[in-house]
Amino acid sequence: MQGKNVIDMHGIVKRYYVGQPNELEILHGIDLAVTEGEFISIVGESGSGKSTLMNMIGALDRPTEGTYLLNGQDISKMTDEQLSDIRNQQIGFVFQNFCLIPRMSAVRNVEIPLMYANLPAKKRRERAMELLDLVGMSDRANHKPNELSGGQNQRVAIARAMANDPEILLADEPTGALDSKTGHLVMDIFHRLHREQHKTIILITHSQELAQETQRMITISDGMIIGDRQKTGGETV
Amino acid sequence: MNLTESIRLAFENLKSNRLRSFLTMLGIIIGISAVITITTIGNSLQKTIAATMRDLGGTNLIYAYVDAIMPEFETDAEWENWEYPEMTDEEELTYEVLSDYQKEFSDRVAQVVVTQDLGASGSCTGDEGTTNVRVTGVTPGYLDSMKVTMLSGRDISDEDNRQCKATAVVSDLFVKYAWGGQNPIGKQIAIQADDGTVQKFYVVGVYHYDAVRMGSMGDTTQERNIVTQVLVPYTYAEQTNKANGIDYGGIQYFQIMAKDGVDPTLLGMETSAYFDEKLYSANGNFEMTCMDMASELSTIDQVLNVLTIAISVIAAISLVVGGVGVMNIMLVSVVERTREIGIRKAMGAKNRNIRRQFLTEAVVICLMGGAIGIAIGIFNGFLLSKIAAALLVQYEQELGAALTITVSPSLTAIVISVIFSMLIGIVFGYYPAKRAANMSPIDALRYE
Repeated sequence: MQGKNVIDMHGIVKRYYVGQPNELEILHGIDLAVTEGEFISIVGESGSGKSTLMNMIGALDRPTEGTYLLNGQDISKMTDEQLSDIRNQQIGFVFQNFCLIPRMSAVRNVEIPLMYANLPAKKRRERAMELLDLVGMSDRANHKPNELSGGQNQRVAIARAMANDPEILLADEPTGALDSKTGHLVMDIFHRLHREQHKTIILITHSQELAQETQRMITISDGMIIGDRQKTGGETV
Repeated sequence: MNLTESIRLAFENLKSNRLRSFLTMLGIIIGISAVITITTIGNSLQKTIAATMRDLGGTNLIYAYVDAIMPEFETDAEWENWEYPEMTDEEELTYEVLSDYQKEFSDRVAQVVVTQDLGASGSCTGDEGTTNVRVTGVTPGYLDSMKVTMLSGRDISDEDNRQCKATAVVSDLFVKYAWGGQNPIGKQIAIQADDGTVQKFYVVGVYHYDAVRMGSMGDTTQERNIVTQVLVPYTYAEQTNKANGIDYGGIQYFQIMAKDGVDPTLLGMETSAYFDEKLYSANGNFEMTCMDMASELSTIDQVLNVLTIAISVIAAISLVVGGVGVMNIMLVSVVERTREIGIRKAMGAKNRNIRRQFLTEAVVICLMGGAIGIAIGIFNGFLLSKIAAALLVQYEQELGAALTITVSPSLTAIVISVIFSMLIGIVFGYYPAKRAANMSPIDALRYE
């Protein structure tokens, strides 16, 4: 049975420098629907527009044209303030280079989204420790990013992405900076979160091998979706 | 995200850049410490002066002196050829005229004090020995005005003066060494002046010798050799001096103690008018000038205020320069932390969260600078006031009053400094904070 659509994009166009001579269209009308609890990958070469699409999905940016419904809410018409709340509550980001704040300990980094969600300090600490425990990092809670390995940092970053229990985890090349062994460890965490917590996970990558691990693979090239393949259903486009 | 959180983040960031944070604060520290130093010194000085004045007789004290009226000189030659006018007998201020004044102004004047030294110092012989003394003619109330206590007997009285009696009030030191500690009241003492003449007086009272209030003379290292004052009636001293060919031309100078609640400046003006009209109106050569402590004090206050304002202006410039330094560093900090801003925004930070974080940081820098400045300022003020005290102590006896320096920082200045440093933080931190807040999260995240 098909679940409800978490992401519903119609005719998404993104242009930069609108109205100027160097106007640039990156996305040429993307239609994309992602249902609750799906684990999908978006694959594309660099320059294909996948990062722009990711920014759009992650509510970091608004489309120039088209509609984007996230859990039924129209993102394209929201104010900056509302977008901040969406990012805080409904999306968890995991970046290639971890994006942890260097002078803060692991637990303090995990607390950041909780802090912007106005959780009181004590509850914040409890929740952050819980999350670190989830990714097996609770014994390193007071270490700063430069005292941790790449794999450990990425686990802290995943814990942070999970902070406000978002519906969607958006991972941009999460294993790009890791060796294959630690990369697999990180991927295992995503699989576990998908399996156990039924998160909708969107993995952005250029690696076909990594994309094969997901249920559905969307291929993007030159700002258009050129392939959408279900692992157990064959081609749909 | 609340204010405590912002403050905590600000301290975290300041700590990670200790040297830079300190250098940024330096401008604020210098500005604030300069203001606090000068206001502390000013405040301490004002309090010390006020205390000394109180000790000297307070703001009730008026000094009155007779002086020739000088014409306006057009040339140096005119000035050189000008001669001090002769004082006629009618113009001389006598004890009687002064007594009349005191009677007429008795509702406002508590005391009038006049002194005249009787010749030079001399030796005085009592029952048990000889000791060196200085003889001073005084009017009633002299000891009182000096805040010297009587131990036994009575002060020189109005009657002593009117009748020109040979009475004397001596010090306890004199009693100790010339009388072997026996009660000398009613006994006669003989004072031999340097020229050999001998004067005899009846002792009517004993006062307690106080080096600070009376001024010490002679060899003060040994109590036995201290020259103390023997007080005799003013009129007696004047008469004896005149007989010896020393004529001061009447009373040249006297002190008035106004009664409590009387405006000393007004009383001074009326006193001048009284004597000008009574003694000097005929010839117009002389005038009586009155100086009261209250207006002297306000003059000192004015000088201190001007000084404080001048230093404050310099400090304000330093604070503005310091503020620009804070702004500069905050702008650098915003650029350096672009990525952090991007991360925070991706995690759900709103523009106002970011703005508040940077603004708080600027305010914390300025407040810390302000606090250090205040501490340094108080320390400097304390040190300089103590140095001033050490330098002033030698004038204690000349002044005839104890100088106790009370160092007290100005609370107003401290409160204003705190508010001012906060304002600098807000004013100069606002623009960098706004820049940080308005960054696009995508650009910020991509920033390397």
